[in-house]
Amino acid sequence: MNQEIISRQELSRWLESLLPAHTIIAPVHREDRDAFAIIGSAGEVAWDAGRTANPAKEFFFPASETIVRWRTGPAGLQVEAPLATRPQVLFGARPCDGMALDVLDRLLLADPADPYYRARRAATTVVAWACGGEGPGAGPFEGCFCETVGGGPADRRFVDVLLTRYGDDYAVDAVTEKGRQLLSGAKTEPRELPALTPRDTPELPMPPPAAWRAQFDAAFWTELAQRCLGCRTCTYDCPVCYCFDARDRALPDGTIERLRCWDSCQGMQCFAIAGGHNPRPTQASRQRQRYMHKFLYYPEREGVALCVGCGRCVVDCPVNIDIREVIAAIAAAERVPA
Amino acid sequence: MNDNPFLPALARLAEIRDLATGIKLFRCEFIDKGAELHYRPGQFGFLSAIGVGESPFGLAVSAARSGGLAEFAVQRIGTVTDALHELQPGDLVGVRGPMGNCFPMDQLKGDRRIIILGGGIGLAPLRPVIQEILDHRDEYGPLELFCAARSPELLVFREEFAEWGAAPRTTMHVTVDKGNEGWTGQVGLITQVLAQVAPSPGNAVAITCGPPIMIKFVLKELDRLGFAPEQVIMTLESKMKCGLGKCGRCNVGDQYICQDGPVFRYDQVREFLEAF
Amino acid sequence: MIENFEPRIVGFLCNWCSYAGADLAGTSRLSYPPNIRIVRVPCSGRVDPLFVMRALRDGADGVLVLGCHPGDCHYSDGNYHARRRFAIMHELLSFVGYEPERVRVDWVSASEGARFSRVVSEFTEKVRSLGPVRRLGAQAATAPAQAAALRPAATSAGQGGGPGQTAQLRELAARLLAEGQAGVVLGWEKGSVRERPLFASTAEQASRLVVPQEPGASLNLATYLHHLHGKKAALVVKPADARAVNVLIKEGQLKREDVVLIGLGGEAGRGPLPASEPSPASEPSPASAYDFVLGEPPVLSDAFVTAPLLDEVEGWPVAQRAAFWDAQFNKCERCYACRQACPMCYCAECLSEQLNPAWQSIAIEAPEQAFFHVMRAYHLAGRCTGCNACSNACPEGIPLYLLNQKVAREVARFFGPDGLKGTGYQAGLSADVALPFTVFTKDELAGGHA
Repeated sequence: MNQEIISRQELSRWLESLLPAHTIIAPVHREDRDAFAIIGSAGEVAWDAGRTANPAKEFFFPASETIVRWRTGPAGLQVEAPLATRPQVLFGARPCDGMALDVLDRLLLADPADPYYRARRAATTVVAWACGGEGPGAGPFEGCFCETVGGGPADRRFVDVLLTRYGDDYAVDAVTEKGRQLLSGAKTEPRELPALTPRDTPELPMPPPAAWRAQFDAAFWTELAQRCLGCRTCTYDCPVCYCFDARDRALPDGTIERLRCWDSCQGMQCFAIAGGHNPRPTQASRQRQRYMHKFLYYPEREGVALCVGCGRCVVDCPVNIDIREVIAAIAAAERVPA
Repeated sequence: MNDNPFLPALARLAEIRDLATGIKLFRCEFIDKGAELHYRPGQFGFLSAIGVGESPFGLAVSAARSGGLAEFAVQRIGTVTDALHELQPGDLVGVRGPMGNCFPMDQLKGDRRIIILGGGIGLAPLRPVIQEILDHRDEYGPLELFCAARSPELLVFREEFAEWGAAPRTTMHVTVDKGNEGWTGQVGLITQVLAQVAPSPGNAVAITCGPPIMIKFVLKELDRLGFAPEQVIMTLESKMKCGLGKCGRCNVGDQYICQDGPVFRYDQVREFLEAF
Repeated sequence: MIENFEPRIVGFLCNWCSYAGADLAGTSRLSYPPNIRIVRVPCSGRVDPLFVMRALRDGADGVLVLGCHPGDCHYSDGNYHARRRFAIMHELLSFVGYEPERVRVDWVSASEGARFSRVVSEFTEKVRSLGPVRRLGAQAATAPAQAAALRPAATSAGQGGGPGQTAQLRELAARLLAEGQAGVVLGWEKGSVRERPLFASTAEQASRLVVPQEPGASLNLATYLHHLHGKKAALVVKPADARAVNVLIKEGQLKREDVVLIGLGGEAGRGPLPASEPSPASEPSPASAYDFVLGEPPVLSDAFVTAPLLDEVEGWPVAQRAAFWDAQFNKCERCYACRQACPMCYCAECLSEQLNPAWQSIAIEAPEQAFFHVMRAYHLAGRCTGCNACSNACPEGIPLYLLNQKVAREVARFFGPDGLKGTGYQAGLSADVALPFTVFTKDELAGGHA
């Protein structure tokens, strides 16, 4: 197959040329893990990185963000709603990271759009690494199941450029005009490349929303939640979990900021109203909320599951609550109606 | 006008009225007239105590009578409402809105008999409905109002009861669970009074709002009186952080209170996947 | 030193002695630097280390806590408690990168106007020489690479009994359930990516129990004891977990008869034995520790294995420690996995999430993570039994156990096995040992703490 290829050396040079005008996010190696981070030089890129420990979410929807700022100055009260405008390149994302953006777009860009997310989204070009190339970091990674939610290791639908690794070179697929523009400063050359063997991942079919609805009152949720600690790891490591909290804080100089921060359906107080009423008082009801949000409510309202099959929650949950097992349990219940 | 739905419009507190013990009415005058809300009865907004946070409250006056001001009835119960209750007239607040769906006023028109049951601060979101009916009296049928509270000092909008009761084809029933010295009115639970009055369900619609426990028993009584679930409308609340369907948490099952509600018919509520 | 640096000092003064002493300094026209902002409290025992941490977090360059002289407390013993608390808090603050001289606890009586003036002057000059207080999170970029790995070593003796004991465990669990001795057996099963907790309440579930082989992934099942709603539970425990149960008993969270403890022995061997049977182990376990043991009864002490990393970090200059912890805490997402995994964190509302008063904002950024972790480590003083569940649960690999080890080391340095004066205190060796912050002796920790 004839493709345009770019060498790693050239990619590094190209990234360096982008750095002055762009914030570049790429996988780096930190301590004992790979993680997305803002890089200061192309030398920091961890080319052999596997799936990053953190999703790319924080660069579009930060863990903490000031959405309004009230300042009293000599001209009176000034109100700002700061929007990020610096061009960003998300380099070394995986197809699931791209799909995550499409999933979030459907809600956060729908009218009335979230202007903070929209600004970052518009400012970002996504240059992804396909899974399944030749070389370290090809994947699949422990816990991955992107095919179940309609994704795939070479899914090019939601990225601007898709790079497929062949050793130290990368086949370049400039998917969008935005991607082509960004690549205009990079040198590629044509080469004949072999087709890659498609990977063999275990099949895990996704039950339709109706199957999830049918299990809403099953005892399964109580059993599942027994070992759940009620931490927030799964929701914070998820590329598409977006629930947020908002509170004001006053700074010592009198400035007031409205903070928007990640929140989690697994926290005990997430749904509690002032005055004490809590409609989801048990961990079981909160665990159920997580899965129903992902596989019933979001598909019914936005057309896609609130999950990209990245597998981070699978490996990070301290008590090994495995979303794949939940999906399989619902599928099994569907086959054997109660 | 701004296209950032998270940015509150600034408003000055034109008036803070004591409605009841621990409950105040905040009348907010927008600094930029262009930010005034255009809303229907049943919709809600977010009121910011700048420096602490914001919370959702029903818009408590009909648009026609609002004079462009946003009115919220606020019970002192948490950190944001604590901060609001400490404010003085003239202070600056933030307002976002309107949000949510509205009461189906068109379906109430004609000769349908309308029964409105408000408990405690739950009367506040019903007030725009009452006012709209009174301001277009000929377009609506007979109106039976039940206004209740745990005790006389918790009755809200008492000073307006006279106007409401005096309107044509309108009957007022005011009751408290427990009277006090000086209370000469009716004493009894709203459900007891409802049972006594026993409005006929024929061509009627009932609208209720109040504490969950009150709603539960009112629904039971209405059912006993023969009201079909499709004839009963209620307005619900839940924890909200945006009002725009983006913060992910206000849902009861697959129903998002800020998008699909807060106004629901009882037959819809009965289908809810979870308890609210 | 920065030109024209005027340190901001926060002083917590007890109403009866030190505040009166300050008043006397004023009426006697004794001068002292104006840098100090005084907060009057009823007693030095009222000063929660939380206040000190918050002051430092918010930019106080120095914090002074003054109370009555020990023995003269208006409320009899408030300052004895304060003395203990700050002995520990002081070491913890130093460990996470605050110069120890920034926090001073001292005693000033109502008649000591001159002493007050001198203490404040000395302290202000000392803090001035230190320069502005660090901004939490700011030094992350200069964090040192550390020689030892960040992950904790296997923590306790007796961890990882052999697979041969698995059959014994399953049999025991089935028997306990069948005989009604327990409504649920909390143990471990093989999961999809690691061993995970199993709540076995049926024979089928009991047949899935395994003896855990993965020390690094291990949690402390005692954390679930608060959620059992009256069901009697049998727990599969490592020594550190059994000690945690002892602390919970001492704190009144459960009674010994509410739980059946199945101890994991160090080697494949005989068992399960009722713990009353003597064993040839060199240090017999107290009978109260276990109801059943698989293999050789493990010793309960030495739960805190000395990690090379703790010694290394302790040896660094304070600025290097500050950078190290800045880098580590910056990784924190406030997911609270550490807190949720910890059996000792059972507050209905954590200080980190409380809104009224709001000790910290909801922001997931510096300085909030550091504030939470320092306060959590302080609140575990004398209570943490070194199970490492917190570090194992942390998805970011933050070496939280270092904080707990450090605090435990200081508690052992100051307090004896009975919780009173001496050395060698270890949490949870029995359910009867007094918790260090609930007791004191009058002549310990002499000399204030500067």
